[in-house]
Amino acid sequence: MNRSFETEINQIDTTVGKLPLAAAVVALGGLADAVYLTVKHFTGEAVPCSVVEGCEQVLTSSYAEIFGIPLAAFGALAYFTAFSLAILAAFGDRRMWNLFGVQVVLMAIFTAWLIYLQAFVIEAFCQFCLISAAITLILLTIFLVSRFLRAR
Amino acid sequence: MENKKNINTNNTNINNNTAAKSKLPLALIGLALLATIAGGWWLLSSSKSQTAQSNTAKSNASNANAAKKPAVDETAALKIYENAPSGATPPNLQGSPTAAVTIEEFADFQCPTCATVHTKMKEIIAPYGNRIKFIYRSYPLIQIHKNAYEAAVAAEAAGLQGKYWQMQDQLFVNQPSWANSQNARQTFEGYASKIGLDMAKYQSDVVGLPAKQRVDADMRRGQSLKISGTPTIYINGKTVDFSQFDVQPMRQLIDAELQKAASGGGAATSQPQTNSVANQTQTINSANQTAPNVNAAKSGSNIKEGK
Repeated sequence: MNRSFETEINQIDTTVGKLPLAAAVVALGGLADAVYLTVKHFTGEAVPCSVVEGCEQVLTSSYAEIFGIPLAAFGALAYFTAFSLAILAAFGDRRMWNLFGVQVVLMAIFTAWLIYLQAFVIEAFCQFCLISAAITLILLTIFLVSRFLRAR
Repeated sequence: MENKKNINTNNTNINNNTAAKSKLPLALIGLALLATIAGGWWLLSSSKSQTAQSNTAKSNASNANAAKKPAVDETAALKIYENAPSGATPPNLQGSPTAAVTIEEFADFQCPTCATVHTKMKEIIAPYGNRIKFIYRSYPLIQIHKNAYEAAVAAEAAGLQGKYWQMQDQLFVNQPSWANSQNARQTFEGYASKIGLDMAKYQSDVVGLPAKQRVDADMRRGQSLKISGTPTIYINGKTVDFSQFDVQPMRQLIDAELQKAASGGGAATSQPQTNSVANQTQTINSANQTAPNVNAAKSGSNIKEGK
């Protein structure tokens, strides 16, 4: 085998191996965001809205709950699951990385719907919801990059 | 023999390492779970005290900012407030229509935060009795709350029988049971019956024009003031920064306004009389009141400028 090609393969393997760990760290950020919003929902306190306008409008809308459970609580559960799958994958369990991929694709679809609701139905944005959307996008990107590198 | 022993020892070490390695991810997941629960609990338990502290800090910061901002902004905001359409006339009002301090709240019956604020607002205004004027205005966010408008109309229909506040209370207290209901009107009829309304008149009023016109008038006032969300609260024409909203910070703002009114020759006294005040809260219904006095005292450094 060509020496430089072998080195490149090793580098790709190392990068691919680190990606689940990076995903786990990012998922923790999403978990913190979702837990914060869940707590604020239950305490009924106003959420700071310094970057965009309309946080209250979004967080008190009829879309903020499903069966009486705040959407943010489902988000926290999703991020915790993503974190767990990424950690298991980082320690060598490949099947968990595939499950992680399925989950982040579903999360991204749901996130796209929530962004649509904010933009066109509620016509207001909530910055913590946008942070969560960005985190989901990063998780999806990490997974797609890992797939791309492995395909090479 | 010696070699075999070494091999066994190495195998044991490898097994131990593998076992430790397989437990590490589970330990990390467990740790994250514990951290999440602990973090959530900490946020929950500290949120109240933090709110009180930050309210004080923000109140001070707001004072400093208010001192720095040009007076022209405040004057312009007050002008917008004064020139806005008057809303439902007479308004749904508690306290004295001639009080020097006016608290005006725009709220949506289906908004969960408004329900929380409703409970706190009752606590806030109770000690002041007739020294303040509290006006509640309906501002249903009809695009996102399908039953909010009908709830506002139901409250106005109850108001036509002199029981606006009783209905308002029923709607807020029981909000979760009707918010997503497909047949909220029936639920509202239950509340109307519970508070002792003449049901034939209520059923007629709830579909009639006068109740709806009052809600529409309040909405027009809110739209003219460019209200961006509910609840929005004004004290003497200046928007209260909602992040400051709590019992004590609100009372500080009201006290400051009362003090200003008193020092400026107004009838109000500077401190709330906390004894027997609940009895003083006067419920004034829409049938016999005057229009809101939006030209009341205009000063007050603790209050954020209008939006």
